[in-house]
Amino acid sequence: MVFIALPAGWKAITRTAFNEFEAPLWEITSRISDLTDYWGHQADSKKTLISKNRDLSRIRSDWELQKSNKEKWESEIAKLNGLRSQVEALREKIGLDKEISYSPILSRVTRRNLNSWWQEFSLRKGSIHGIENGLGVIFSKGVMGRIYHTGLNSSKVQLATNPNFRIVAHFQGDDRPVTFQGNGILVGGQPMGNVWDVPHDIQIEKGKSLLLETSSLGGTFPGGLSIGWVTSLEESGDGLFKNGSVLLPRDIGKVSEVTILLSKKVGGKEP
Amino acid sequence: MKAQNRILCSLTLSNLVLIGCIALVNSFINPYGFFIYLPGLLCVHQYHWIDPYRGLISLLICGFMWDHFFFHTFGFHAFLLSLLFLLIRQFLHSAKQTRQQILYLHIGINSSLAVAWFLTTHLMQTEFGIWKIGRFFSDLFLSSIIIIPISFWHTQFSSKLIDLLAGLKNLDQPVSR
Repeated sequence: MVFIALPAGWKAITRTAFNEFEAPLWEITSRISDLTDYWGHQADSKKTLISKNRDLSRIRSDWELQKSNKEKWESEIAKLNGLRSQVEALREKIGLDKEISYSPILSRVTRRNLNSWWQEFSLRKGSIHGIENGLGVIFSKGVMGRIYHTGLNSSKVQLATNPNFRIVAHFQGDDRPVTFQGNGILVGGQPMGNVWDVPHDIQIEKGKSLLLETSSLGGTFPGGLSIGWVTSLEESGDGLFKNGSVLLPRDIGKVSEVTILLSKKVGGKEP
Repeated sequence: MKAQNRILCSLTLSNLVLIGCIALVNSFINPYGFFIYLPGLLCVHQYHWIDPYRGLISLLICGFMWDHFFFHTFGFHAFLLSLLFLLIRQFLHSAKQTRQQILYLHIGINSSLAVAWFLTTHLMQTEFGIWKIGRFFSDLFLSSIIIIPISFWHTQFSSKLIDLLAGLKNLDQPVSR
């Protein structure tokens, strides 16, 4: 009862103190884990080294192939830049806001906390690296979450499965906005979400699924990033819209490195 | 430093080590949809070696740490553990428990806390999501299995740490086997 009666300010100070105290512990653990991994590879057998070398030579040959296509890509880039300047000119003409540009910051994950009621990741980078609350976080398969707490040298990501994570989204090939909200992780590790406010005319055939993507309307993420797959939709209570469950990529909980999107409009500072 | 304070520090340290280890293990197994919930282990029987005020201070620190690490309502476990500690103190005072009895005590406290938190997420307006019923049973089942070896280890670890830091061994032979 005494604790409930304490002012919110005191509780916030205590929580921040705990955060700053705990962050270095997780960073040390994560660095030790990386070091163990490094020394583990030092003891790799000849067989492992040969197989890794084979993989590396494949990557190298692919890289050479890409290099040979350099001229083709350069002309494509010039064409795209021309189109971009045309779009910018049209935007200015009709008075639309400029699209927010993002710069990426890579960060290692120090700790995962994915229980049923709250899903978050702790990262190794904090306010001294330009991280701020509200920045979007992505990984190789799409949206990861959003920064919700920033310490001096660490930060915390609210995962896309977190029930407090809510963003504007749209289905691939359909511009109309829908709402995505996290819905936890099932037994076995399937990350889940919900989609709300889906227009009535969007149908999903049996056995097929629709890809849910981010919308640039939200401001946290650039448009077109993959969120997850929707396999079925059902009528909402009001009869105006439909709702459905979203299957997020399983890897979302296993990622060890993420990219933080530093929005130049919001964050201001260059990394 | 008084012997009582040294025991207090040893018990708090052993509980903090336990919380850190559980957090690390959870960090690895969480992506597979399991969560090890073991705050019941923080109520070790060695708390009867110190006076209730010191016991409460230690449990409050550890409870706050647990709440912070695993994102519960701040103070939930701190105060509930303290309350349970005061209730079971009479039982601990008999100081004749076997390891099995301590294990049953840990399982009992752990399950009570799990049920209390499950009901809190469902019935009260909190900033968190709910502990879904499927996950609740699977997490509690897994935790109740894992608690068996950890309870034995943690009891021994706390005793050894008290022996090391406070230089006190078997004050009243609380663990008979």
